[in-house]
Amino acid sequence: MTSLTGLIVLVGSSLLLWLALVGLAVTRKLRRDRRELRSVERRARYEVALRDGDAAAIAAICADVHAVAAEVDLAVAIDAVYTTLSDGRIEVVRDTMEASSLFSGLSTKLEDRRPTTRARAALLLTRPGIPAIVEQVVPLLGDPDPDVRLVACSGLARAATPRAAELLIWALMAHLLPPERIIERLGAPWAVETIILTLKQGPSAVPDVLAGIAPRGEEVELDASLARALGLARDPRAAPALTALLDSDSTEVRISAARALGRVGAEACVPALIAALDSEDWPVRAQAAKSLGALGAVDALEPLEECLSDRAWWVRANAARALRELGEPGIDALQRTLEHDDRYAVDRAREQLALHAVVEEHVGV
Amino acid sequence: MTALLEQILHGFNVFTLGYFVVLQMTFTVLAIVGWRAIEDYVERRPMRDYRAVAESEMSMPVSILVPAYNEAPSIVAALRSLLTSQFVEFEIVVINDGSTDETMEVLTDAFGLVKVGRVPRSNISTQLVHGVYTSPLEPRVVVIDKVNGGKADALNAGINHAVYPLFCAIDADTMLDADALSRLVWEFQAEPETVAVGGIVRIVNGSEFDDGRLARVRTPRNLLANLQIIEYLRAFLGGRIGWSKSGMLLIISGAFGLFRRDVCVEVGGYDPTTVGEDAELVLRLHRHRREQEKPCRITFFPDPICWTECPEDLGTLVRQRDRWQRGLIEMIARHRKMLLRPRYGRIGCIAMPYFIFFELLGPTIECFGYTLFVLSLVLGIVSLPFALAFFAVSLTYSLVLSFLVILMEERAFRRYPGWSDLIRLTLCAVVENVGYRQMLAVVRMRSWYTLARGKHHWGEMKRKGFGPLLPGGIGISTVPRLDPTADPVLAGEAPAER
Repeated sequence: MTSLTGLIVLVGSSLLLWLALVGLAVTRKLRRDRRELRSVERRARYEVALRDGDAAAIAAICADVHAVAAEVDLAVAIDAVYTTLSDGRIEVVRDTMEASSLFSGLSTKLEDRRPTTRARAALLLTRPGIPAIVEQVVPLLGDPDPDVRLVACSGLARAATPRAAELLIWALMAHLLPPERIIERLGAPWAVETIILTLKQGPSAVPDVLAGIAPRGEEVELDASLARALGLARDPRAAPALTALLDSDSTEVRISAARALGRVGAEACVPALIAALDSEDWPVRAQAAKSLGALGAVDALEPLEECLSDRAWWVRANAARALRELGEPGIDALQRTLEHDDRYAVDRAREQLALHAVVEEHVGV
Repeated sequence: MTALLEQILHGFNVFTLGYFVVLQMTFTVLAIVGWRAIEDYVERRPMRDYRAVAESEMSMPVSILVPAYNEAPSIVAALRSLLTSQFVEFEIVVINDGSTDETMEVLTDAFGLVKVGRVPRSNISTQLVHGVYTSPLEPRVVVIDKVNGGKADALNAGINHAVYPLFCAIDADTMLDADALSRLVWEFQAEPETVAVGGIVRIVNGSEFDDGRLARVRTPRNLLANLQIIEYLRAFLGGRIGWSKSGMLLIISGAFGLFRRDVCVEVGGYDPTTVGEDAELVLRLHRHRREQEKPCRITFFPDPICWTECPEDLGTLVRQRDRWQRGLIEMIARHRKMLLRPRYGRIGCIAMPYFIFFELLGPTIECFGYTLFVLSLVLGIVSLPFALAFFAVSLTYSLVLSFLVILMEERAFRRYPGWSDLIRLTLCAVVENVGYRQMLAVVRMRSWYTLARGKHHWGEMKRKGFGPLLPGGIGISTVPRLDPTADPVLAGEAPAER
């Protein structure tokens, strides 16, 4: 009898546990469905107010944002419309947010003990790109949590001021974040002047609040990273600085500069890239050939033709490809190469001509 | 004599009970760790700008390796789908592994392939490479035409010719979420010590497609496929996240994983002599990095999703599970030196004993447990109430775990938004305990026998394909057989180059 009672209790409690879990799953799903719908509706409402630049509506939104989900929705909405807003509307958004109680509340949350709260506050605070926010965000660059540091880094890029660029360069030196994540944010026209200045004069002083964190990177490494950032910015103002870096003692810096020059697109840098085809290091020669092709530098026709007989395979391959990218004069040069004594050069030329023929055939079709 | 039998049965029952308790405790710990990790991820997700990784020219570029053997009906559709990946810089390296159908011809027609000289960046030994082809129309596509050598050999040829620092090994019959690559690459850039990252593999059967892309995720009508959905969810969300967070991940699915190319070359690439080359590579990476005293972060990330078809017929499922189990046995056997050696840390002292006891021997213990339990019941060694109570407890526990992963799925990903899908999955969580699990235990136990008989074939997979792009609707693919008689040659020499 006792064992039967035990069995009934056991099976019954198992059944109850199972039912409780089903109930939990159902209520969670219902709640999540409702929350998701509310979130979609809220984001749409925020986006309309931001696009209209309606200060009163934006102020009302700021007063209404209390819940975590609403904070995230507002940040997402600002991101969604930011690039489509005129400068005037961005100013309205910034001024209204800065004057709201939401702004001061979020500033307090930057010191919260939970990293996700700090990151979320930093995310929303920095989305409108308020320049004054830069100094508030600085301590977060040294935060123990990588997500907080990343949000701070992205926030500085949104502020897009020379001071923000200085701080990002400093974060790059201190290895506070994966370098790629900082370089991609520095790689914009707003940071070009600061980067050029840093390449000439060295990095600025370490911010006081981060004095305890020592820079770990070497100067050469920094130069290579800054060259890459200038390439991403695709700003012709960077051409002289990058050309100067082609004379660096470091192979890594010269490769980065040659690659960046191919992206900057300034014709003035073609002679320097042609000169780089004579570099002792094959990666520099290969990169210079690639960049000359990307720039469509017809002046480089002859040097590129000579590179088809280079001793390094990648230089020959890149030079042949660059010639194809130069269009008709390059194709003629590749045709001439077929008569060449150097069979390696002939191989590369034949390969590019075959690729060209397929493209022509499809264009014809 | 009867007394002795009774004692043996009693002893084995106690052992089975202990085994059950320890196993369920391990599952509980893994599920709790997994749940916490999912909660953390959900909280952090809005702060992580994955789109920036997808669009940034600074992101680490990826070579996607697609081994193909007789994939003519589906390969072009698969590549067109992969080419829509939202990632800034990637190449797709298709390795035509000596196909006997028109795989090479359909690729040439579709992409206007031209044979080019391409210097391999490493020289892992593989079967002879006939040539490397590239497409001027779609420069991201590279095709390697080689002598048949099996999937691992094909992947090794792909590694040799891949140019980017990361490679993603996927099956030709899988489909990636558009943002899957950026999420995996994030892990590599966030933690430079990362050597490999696995993504979640989900079942696509029953879903709706539009122009070869996944349009709506639905659960299939086929019971077997639904049972596998629950199984996959439990394995990935309830198991691998926990192992990964504890730094003991031993398996990255061959259908979808991202690896650092240089480290894989260092260990010699995939092993073509095992059927579980994906798991074997992961364990070899752990072993090598520890022997070299270098950091080794191998992790699992639950959000980047790879969709694959699962078997809908019993025969294919049985062959697949047999192959998986044989792969696991071979993997553990080859690296048995790591077992309980402090030099290999938690991998040797916790993960490997777990795999030996619960994954390799588990199915055998389970099958004997079922048989002897019934025998004990018949002989009266175990009372009926106890048997029922044990059954109720184990069923409840299994259901709790299954519901937990369904809740995790609902909390974090919501890939099955329909009520009907959730109800179907919930019912399957109950049904799988009656017959399905026991059947799989028998299949896995039988793998010892098939391994002893020296079976090395991969079996066949009947596929329906991803939507209307596949002519005829059904493509039957035979994954390559290993050919032990062929002489491997070094394909890592630059052809006719200085």
